[in-house]
Amino acid sequence: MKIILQKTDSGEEEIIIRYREMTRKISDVVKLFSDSDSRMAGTKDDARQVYYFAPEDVYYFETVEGVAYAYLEKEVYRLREKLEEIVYRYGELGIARCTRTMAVNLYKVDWLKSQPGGRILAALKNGEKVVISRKYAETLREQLRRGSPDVER
Amino acid sequence: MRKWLKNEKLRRYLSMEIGIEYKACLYFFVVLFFYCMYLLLHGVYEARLLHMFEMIAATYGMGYFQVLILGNFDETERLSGRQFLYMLLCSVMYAGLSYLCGWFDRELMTTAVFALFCVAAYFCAYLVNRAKRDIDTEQLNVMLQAYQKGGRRDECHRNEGTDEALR
Repeated sequence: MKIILQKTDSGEEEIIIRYREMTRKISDVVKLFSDSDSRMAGTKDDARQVYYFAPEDVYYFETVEGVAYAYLEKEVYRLREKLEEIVYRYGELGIARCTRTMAVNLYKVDWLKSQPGGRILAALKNGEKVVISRKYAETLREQLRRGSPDVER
Repeated sequence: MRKWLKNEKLRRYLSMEIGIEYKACLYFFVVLFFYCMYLLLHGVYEARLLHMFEMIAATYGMGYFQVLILGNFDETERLSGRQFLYMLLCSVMYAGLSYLCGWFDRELMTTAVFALFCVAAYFCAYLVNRAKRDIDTEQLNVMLQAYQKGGRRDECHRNEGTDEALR
């Protein structure tokens, strides 16, 4: 496959793909660029290869020693973004802060349980359980009450 | 939210303090009810202000003791042996205070009944708190389901875009 890169000083940046047959590879490239704003990039342990994944597939995000990780059904990716940035950017997709070091995907929550002291226990669809601290429980309740995927900005 | 309430430490402190105030009011009412019943049964129709002051001070102090040292046992998720022991301990302390302050004229039988009444009150408070959380859990799950059914605002737009590109 030939790749042509052309520098332009004016007008909108564009990608033109000429193909004879729609293959998986081309389809992936199309997907990657068609929703580039909502795809996340992360690395695994070796940090050699960058993996792209949809934030909707993430169960929860956690910061460990200042580094944010995305926990998917089976994989764990190390991210470059900070937790605040993730919540800010993907809040509309249901990513809500649950503790100082964690954010959970509300669409991956199976059920919630009210806990003593104003905390909330969230059971995720993968069987894991996350405790939403009192501080963030209030914001979460407000977010759920609004019933809209909007997030405070 | 008010500006001064944005201070996290202040909010946490106020939250704890309000919780203790709430407890003090609840248990003061419990103690006062028993005290009034005791007086009525003895044909006395006036309560002593000094006793009431001692009661509110006792319940306030006990509120701190419960929250800071005994792990807020009446709001616990499950009532285990330890929580039950804490209930007994606080009830015995209330009974001891009632004896020292002479709320029930230092009658041993009344003091013992008062201790049992306190245990029952603690158990009721635990049940009420649990029921309150159960109702809250139900509401939370209704809201969660509604939220999840609402769908993502940009989901359809993104699919349209991808389909368009794939066509």
